[in-house]
Amino acid sequence: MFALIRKDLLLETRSKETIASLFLVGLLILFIFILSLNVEQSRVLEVAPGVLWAAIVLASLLGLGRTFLIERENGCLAALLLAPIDRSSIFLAKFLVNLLLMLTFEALLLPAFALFFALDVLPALPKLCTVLLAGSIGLAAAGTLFALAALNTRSRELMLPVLVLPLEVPLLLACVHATEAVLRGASLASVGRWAVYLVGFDVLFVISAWLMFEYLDLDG
Amino acid sequence: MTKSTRQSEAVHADRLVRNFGRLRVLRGLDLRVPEATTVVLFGANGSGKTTLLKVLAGLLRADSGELRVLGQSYPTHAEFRNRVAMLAHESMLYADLTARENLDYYARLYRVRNRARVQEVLERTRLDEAAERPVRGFSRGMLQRLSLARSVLHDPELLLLDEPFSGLDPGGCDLLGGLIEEQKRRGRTVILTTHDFERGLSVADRAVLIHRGRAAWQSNRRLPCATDMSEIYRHTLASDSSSLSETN
Amino acid sequence: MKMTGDMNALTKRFEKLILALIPIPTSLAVLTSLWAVFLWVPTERNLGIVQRIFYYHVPSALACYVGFIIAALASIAYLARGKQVYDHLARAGVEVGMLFASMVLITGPLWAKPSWGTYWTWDARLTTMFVLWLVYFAYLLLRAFSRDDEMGKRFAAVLAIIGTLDIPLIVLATRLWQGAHPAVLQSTKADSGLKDPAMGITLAICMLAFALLFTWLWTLRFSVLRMTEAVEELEYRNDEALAS
Repeated sequence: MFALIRKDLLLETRSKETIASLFLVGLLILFIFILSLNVEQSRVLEVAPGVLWAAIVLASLLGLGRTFLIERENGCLAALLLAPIDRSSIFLAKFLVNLLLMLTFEALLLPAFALFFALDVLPALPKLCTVLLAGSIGLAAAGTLFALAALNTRSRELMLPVLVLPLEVPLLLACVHATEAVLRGASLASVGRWAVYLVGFDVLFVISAWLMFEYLDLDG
Repeated sequence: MTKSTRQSEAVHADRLVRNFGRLRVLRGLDLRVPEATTVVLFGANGSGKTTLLKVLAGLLRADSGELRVLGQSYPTHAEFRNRVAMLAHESMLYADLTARENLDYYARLYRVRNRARVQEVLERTRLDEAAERPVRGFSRGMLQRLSLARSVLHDPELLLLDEPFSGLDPGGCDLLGGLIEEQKRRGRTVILTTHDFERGLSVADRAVLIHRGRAAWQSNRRLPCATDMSEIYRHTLASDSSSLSETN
Repeated sequence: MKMTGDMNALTKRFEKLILALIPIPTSLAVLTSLWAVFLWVPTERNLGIVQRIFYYHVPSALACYVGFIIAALASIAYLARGKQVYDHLARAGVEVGMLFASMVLITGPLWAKPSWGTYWTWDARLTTMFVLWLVYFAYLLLRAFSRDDEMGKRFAAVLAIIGTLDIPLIVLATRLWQGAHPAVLQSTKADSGLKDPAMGITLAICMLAFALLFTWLWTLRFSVLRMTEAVEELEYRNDEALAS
């Protein structure tokens, strides 16, 4: 499994394609939202968290399909299925790589976000990062699982948002509200409900996806 | 495990059926391959050769029929796949990595302990000079040789080669022939498909003709020569199409 | 293999039984519900005539959930056993479920507008239904656009399962959300005004009618799927026979 992760990271650091595109798209989305929304600074916290997560989700939808797309080229997916590695380990490896990519992307996006919305995120940084991590885990798990499903269709990558977004609606709801609470400086207790929810969601999704991969009985 | 005759068979397949939706590819295929033999499969395109190899490799599941590979029936646990390797139409290589990086990756994936193995295999396939170049720039022949290197890297007991001679120049073909000989000497089993009667018969112990998803003909004690094989091939195909033309 | 042969035979017998027995009771139940809802039950004091939609709105939601849960269970069986009959059961479940989900999403706004002045409210039930509708619409799209038959069905099965697992998550999230914005949302809690026992009875009649209706539609859809498969099989055998 680590061989797989290592290889994917090697490919990515060499080309940096995915990360660069993700970052650019995220930036553009933030920008478009700011242009189209007319919010006074005093009320900015009402929309900013939503915009941030919209950017993260939309950009990630583009990036999540890629980890399997590179395997589709030259039949490497078949090679993975031939290798002495559990199907669910394949999922884990791809999931972790996707997660890492998403977190890197978010780390790059966050300063831009703070800048564009003129928000001081530094005091809330640790809690904010926790929320970002929790949200990304859920998004990455669902996205990795369904990226493979999407590739199997005629419309390929187009299917991924269709498949994954409805399922992730509750996650997004939780993330946006948790982010808002954190940015408003709320205590951990009040954020607590959302935090517990996020953890629950993540656990459910990661375990389901991990199990499903094994039961999918992937064919060459 | 009791020692029965089945134990010495690398492949024991009975009435394999595999469909793709409405398309029936394998229609009750029987095949027995004893250990440490080399079998060459001939057959027209679409006869089911590639599907058969994929089923033997465990990439595809047969819809019905009995199959034991190296004494195990599918689905097996992951460890078993260490004993099998397949060379397919697609190279299964990453274009943006170098030859060495590709092999390093596969070595890790298959838990090949010996560090020197990658170098050994590169030299054996005469790719050591191109080892540090990205695969993207490789010629067809080099790709084929690297795929071959990838397949033998973990020293599999059963080697499945799908049209291995395609894309290879005469030097490459000789190299492949030598590799197959080596596998034979070491008691490994090799099953290959090819359209080249001459080459196929020169490396094999047995020949099988696959036609419309079944094993239409098998060699017995002695292998036919290339001309005879070609005759058998044409005859089998012709007898089938003549019945088609009758109903049309 | 033997077990699935039995499963096939079992479902065939059930199918025949249901299709033979169900039309009459269902028709009776539906007619009775029409009478009960439009002619018998008294008008609710606060919400007026429009409140009668409630008697169809709630059972539709129930039928929808039943459909999706059945689909999830059948999908699990399909992934575990791989036999086509489970896939048919699942697909029929989703399709009929979607029908009822659409009904909920149509009757909801129809009820909301005269009662509260707005077509849509983001309350727990409607939001959940909407998200579910999206999830299972994606299921239908996935089935329509999959390239490889076998894997396509398995991916769809995964979606059906995860969709159902998602239901409690969606409900929970919207409830937490509601807690934060009480002013925006209005409660469409249906059981908040069942004062007259006649209303309870009417609701029960409608539940029964919809349960029967669901079973009928689901079985019909399932039998159509099964027949289609059989026809294709026959066509194929015919082609084979002609070729040789």
